Amino acid sequence: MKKNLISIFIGVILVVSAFGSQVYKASASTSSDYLVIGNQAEMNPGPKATEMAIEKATGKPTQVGKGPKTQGNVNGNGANPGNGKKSHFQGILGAINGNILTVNLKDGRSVDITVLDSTRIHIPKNKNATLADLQIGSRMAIQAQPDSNAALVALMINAIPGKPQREHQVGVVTAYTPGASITIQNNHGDSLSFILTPNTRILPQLRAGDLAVGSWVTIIAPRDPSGGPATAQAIVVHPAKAV
Amino acid sequence: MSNSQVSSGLIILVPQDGSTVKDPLLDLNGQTMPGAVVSIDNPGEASPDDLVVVVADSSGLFSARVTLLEGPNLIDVVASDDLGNQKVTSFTVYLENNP
Repeated sequence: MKKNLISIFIGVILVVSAFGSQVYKASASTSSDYLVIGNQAEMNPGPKATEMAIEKATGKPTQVGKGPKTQGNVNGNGANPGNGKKSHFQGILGAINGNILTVNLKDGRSVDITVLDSTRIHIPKNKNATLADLQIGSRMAIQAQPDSNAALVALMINAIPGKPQREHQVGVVTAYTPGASITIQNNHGDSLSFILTPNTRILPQLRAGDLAVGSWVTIIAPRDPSGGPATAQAIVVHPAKAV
Repeated sequence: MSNSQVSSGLIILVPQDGSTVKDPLLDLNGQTMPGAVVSIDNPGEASPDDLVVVVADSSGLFSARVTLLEGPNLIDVVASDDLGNQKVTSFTVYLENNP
């Protein structure tokens, strides 16, 4: 009887031991399956792998899976604007090579921007402006967008007309002929004369009647590079200074 | 912004240089020398003489409304104090009704 009990006990241990081994194997199998899944992932590339593949093929970085792709592709006349972020550039047109503009920016850098037939070109007093009307050295503002090759393509070009620099001159009126001219003496003792026109505004309106010889004023006028008397755009009459 | 920055010049606080707006009426704010006369381009007006002229308050703050044209608007701002000290700055705002 005692021998029988020992045999049964040993048998139970063997059965349990065998069952436990199966569980362990199942775990190992699952672990192995996980590794396989990992390999399948590499076999079926996700966005990152696709991105790397395109980079290998083109030698250029791309942005697959990181936002909207640019549409269109290179054609005989250049690229089409894509859906990338629009950027603005302002600077001096440094060069024109075919349909590519080189714009020298404020910060000293330069940028190449492609002009397409679809690019809108605005030049003051020229409603039908084309690429041929753009002049090197002119100031311009350009809205551009990267194409599928990351090259900038112009959506809109605006030539900015040059304008004379404006100056303020502060002083005491020494001569005044309404509607014709005004002369002031500034803090440095210089005598400065200005032409008055019907467009010259006297501000503030409530002190316009006070403008006379002895008034303390600021005259706003464009700088005249010829050195002649400038035309006053506005005269600001200040309150009388306390003596 | 520190007072030393303001006392050294003329700063446009709003809008940012290079910004894009959809409304042709632009409200701008800036800071310069206290009591300074400030003249600001008004691109949307027919005559270039149609400047906006304002006087900065005792803190040098000023505000103005100008009218924009479609596309880029280069706006020059000139400020001068009682002594004739002059500060100049400019900024560009893009009006895009159909961005």
